[in-house]
Amino acid sequence: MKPYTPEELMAVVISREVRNGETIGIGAASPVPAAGCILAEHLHAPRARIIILGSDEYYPFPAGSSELHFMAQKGELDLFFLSGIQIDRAGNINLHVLGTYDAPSVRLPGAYGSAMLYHMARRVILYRTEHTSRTFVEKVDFVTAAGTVPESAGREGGPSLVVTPRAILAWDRETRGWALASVHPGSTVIDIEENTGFALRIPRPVPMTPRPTPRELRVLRTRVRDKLKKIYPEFAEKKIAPAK
Amino acid sequence: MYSMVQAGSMGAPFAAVRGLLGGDLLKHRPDLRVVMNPFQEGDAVVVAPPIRPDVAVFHAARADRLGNAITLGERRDDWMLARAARRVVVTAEEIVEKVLKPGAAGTFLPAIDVDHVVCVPGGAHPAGCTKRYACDRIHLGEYLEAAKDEIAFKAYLEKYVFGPRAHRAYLSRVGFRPRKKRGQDA
Repeated sequence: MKPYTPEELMAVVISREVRNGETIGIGAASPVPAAGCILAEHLHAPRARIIILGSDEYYPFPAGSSELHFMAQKGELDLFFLSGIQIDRAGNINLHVLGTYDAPSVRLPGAYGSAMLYHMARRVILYRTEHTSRTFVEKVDFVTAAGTVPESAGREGGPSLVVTPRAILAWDRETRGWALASVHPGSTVIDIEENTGFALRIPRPVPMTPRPTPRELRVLRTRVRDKLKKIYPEFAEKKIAPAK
Repeated sequence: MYSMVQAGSMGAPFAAVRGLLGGDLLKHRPDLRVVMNPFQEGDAVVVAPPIRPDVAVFHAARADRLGNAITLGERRDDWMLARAARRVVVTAEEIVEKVLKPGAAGTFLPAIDVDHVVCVPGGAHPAGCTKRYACDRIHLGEYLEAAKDEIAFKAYLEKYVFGPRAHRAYLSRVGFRPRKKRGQDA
């Protein structure tokens, strides 16, 4: 069997986090979590209710994106996935600008529903296909969605995990900080520390992420890939290896 | 009211509505409050809390086992009410094995909005249901007559509501006869 791509590894890691019976939302331009959730559905979570924006098969409402948005606002989403060009020590994510807001060096598409979803989904798993110190920073240039909110908000929100090609980082609500949850095969603690722009709590011993199993990869490369082709054809073709 | 249910369906913290100012409704409804529009000076508006009914019940011409349902007529407000409610029950004239898709006649209520499906033929009586059966005007006349008088209304309730042990007994008491025409309705 072909060695796995970073995207395949991340999809497998995400699939293991999905719980059977959960109602899961996946927003625009999110092929990695889409692959992970469909994989989970085919392995251990057949009753997961997966809602993928832009999919026919995985969009249970007659039309529009407002349904998913309002469902989240009612507090009915168990799990949502977000990313950011920067993610910081305090769990803040940035989808707006690099540099200053008025004169940015890079302007990004913006938040869409992120700031509400980060607050209202029961769990949010962050993912980032690049794990470097320019992505994982001490402080984001712009807080699109806050890791922690004022006490008057009445609800905590924020991240539960971040999945990268190197590791899983876990958010600790008590200390309001990131800890290294597990190191992916091929990566090391030193690697991760050098590529993260803030100090991580490192457990001893450090858990290793279990390697994708032949079954996980086989299902990902057959049934999941076929379904993903209808939603993210380019991603499915380029990032998920064909079965043979 | 519409805005309050709409706010409930959207998970919005409250609804802001125009009008009502100066009317007596505000004196009798403590849940309707007046606030100043934070975006426009000197603009008083009424705000109301969201409504999320514990249960909403819809009667459908057909439903499948997943909860997809073809409800009566073109009432798109069904979606809003279903999404505002915490629990949704669909009663249906008929449960079909094949999975229903949007596009058929009537309003489509998707399975994700539905918690329970119950097969209740004649469930719309004394109202009608598509072409299956018409509104029972004779029975409605009896109801209207009974509703004029306290004693007569109690007798009506006993005869039709509390007396019959189940829906089937109610239907036989009102003399319900479905006029099913296959292939014509939803």
